[in-house]
Amino acid sequence: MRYIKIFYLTSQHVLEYKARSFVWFLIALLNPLLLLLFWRGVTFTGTNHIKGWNISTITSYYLLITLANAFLTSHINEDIARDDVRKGELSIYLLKPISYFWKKFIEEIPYKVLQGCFGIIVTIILSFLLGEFFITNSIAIIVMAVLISIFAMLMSFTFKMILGLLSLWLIDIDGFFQLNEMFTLIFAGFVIPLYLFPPLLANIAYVLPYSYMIYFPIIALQGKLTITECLYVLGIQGIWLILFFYSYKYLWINGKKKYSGAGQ
Amino acid sequence: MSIINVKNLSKNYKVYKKEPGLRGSLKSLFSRKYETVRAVNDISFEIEEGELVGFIGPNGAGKTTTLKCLSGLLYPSTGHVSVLGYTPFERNYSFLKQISLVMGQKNQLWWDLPGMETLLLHKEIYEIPEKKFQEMVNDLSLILDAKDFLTVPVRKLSLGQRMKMELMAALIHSPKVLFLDEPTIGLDVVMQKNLREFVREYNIRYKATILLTSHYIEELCKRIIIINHGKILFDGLLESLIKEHAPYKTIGVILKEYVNPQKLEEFGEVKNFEFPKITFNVPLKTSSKMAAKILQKLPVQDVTIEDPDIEDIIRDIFNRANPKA
Repeated sequence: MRYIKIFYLTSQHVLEYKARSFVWFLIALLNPLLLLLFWRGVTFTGTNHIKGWNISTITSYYLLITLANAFLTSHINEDIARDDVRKGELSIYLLKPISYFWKKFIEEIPYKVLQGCFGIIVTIILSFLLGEFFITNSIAIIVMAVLISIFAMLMSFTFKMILGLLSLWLIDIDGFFQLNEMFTLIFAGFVIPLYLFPPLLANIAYVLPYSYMIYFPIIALQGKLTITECLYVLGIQGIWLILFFYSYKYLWINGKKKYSGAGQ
Repeated sequence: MSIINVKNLSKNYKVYKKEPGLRGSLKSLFSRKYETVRAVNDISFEIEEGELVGFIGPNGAGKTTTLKCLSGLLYPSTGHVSVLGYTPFERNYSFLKQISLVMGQKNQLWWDLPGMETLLLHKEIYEIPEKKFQEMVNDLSLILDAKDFLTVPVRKLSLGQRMKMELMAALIHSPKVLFLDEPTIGLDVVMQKNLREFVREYNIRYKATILLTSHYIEELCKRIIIINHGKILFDGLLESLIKEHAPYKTIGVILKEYVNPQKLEEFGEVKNFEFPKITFNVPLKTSSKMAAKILQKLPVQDVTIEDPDIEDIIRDIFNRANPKA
């Protein structure tokens, strides 16, 4: 019940600041939209294709990036570093008989729902304007893609929680966050589909966790993965999740000892 | 039975020291100097169930750090802390359900929503039964006179009203142990007085153990702990503090006519003389006799006998402990 109440209160708070949330969404939208226009204008003309990607699939890819970014990507690390650690808001959580991780997770959901709604509206508008939007029609693959997306969201959230907790050790954490954003941009498939990367770079991307947070949910929904490949992706995501979870636990136990409750 | 048990508690912070200017910044790129600051230095004390204890000390004395260690926010560098039989830092849920820490400059209310929403959230977090919750809301809103603004968004409340809501949120689960860190900060004198009365009322009504850091707490707490530079300078009853550290009374006299200051010394230590007002510090045992002598020998218009000012005594203790300051 406590988490339902938190969800209920955060939802009220999010709706109070919906305009700000929409602006954040627009900022995040800018990058894939510009890339989409670039690909459509320069590279693909008519019916030509590169490594099996044509104008329809590439358009869908960038529209789905917009959706994935809105639904799956967490920015909780910034809140943790800025508010909880630097301003000492963590004290409020530490004094309550409640899990910090799950409280943060539940608080994140209303933001994701609102951002996701913006994403759906914009995707519908753009797909009508551009006349291109394609996802798989296989129900089994769609179910797998949804599962991959849920795992991706959990991965993104836990990973950002870990990054946020690092601010208990590193005072100048913002540079580190920016570096992570840079890696995300490249290796999560925000710039181009990883399939179009040179083989070495693609292999590096598949080893790193970023692709499992954005790229694979998208190409699964586009029908570019078989059921077996989907299961393989879910397995890798599971391994990352276990690794992240234990890393989070370790950092939480030891990070609390570093906490000084500054700002009070 | 002691509810709070602190043994040889120390809390150290590693603080980065940088020389001023650009040169210092460049130097710090290659070698950083750190200094260990002892915020709390080997302190020990015990607090019994239902006690209301004042924790007094100047800024940076170690009061807040001690309260944070007691509530489990900080991990002690050395020593042992036990509250209600629990080690606070372990954050055992049944421990957290029995304590509360109110920090005057920190708020836990949802800014855009009415205070009642935070209370309802706390009802779920602390698993308070509906009946008990209603009782507490009624009780607290009555004592704090907060009924009218329970449903007003927090951002629309005045500072005093917000503080009342903060207190309600902190006490809705009726904690057995309450830590109050400067709860009167920023409040006007009327509100400060109300708050002190409320703390006393809460202590009596709920038999809660309260550790409080604030100014003007002498009228509230029988026992006080004075701390400075992380060390306890005094721990005992307020009466003992006066007896031990200020065994005198203050006699205030208003003269009808001017008297040679040299003639005044026979009555006691002259603390202050600005005609027509004189203040004497007179030994406790002889204060009545001396007052009679003053009335007899000096041209007195008015006379008062008072206990020494607690703040003066405390300041005196700080000065003696740290004469260079």
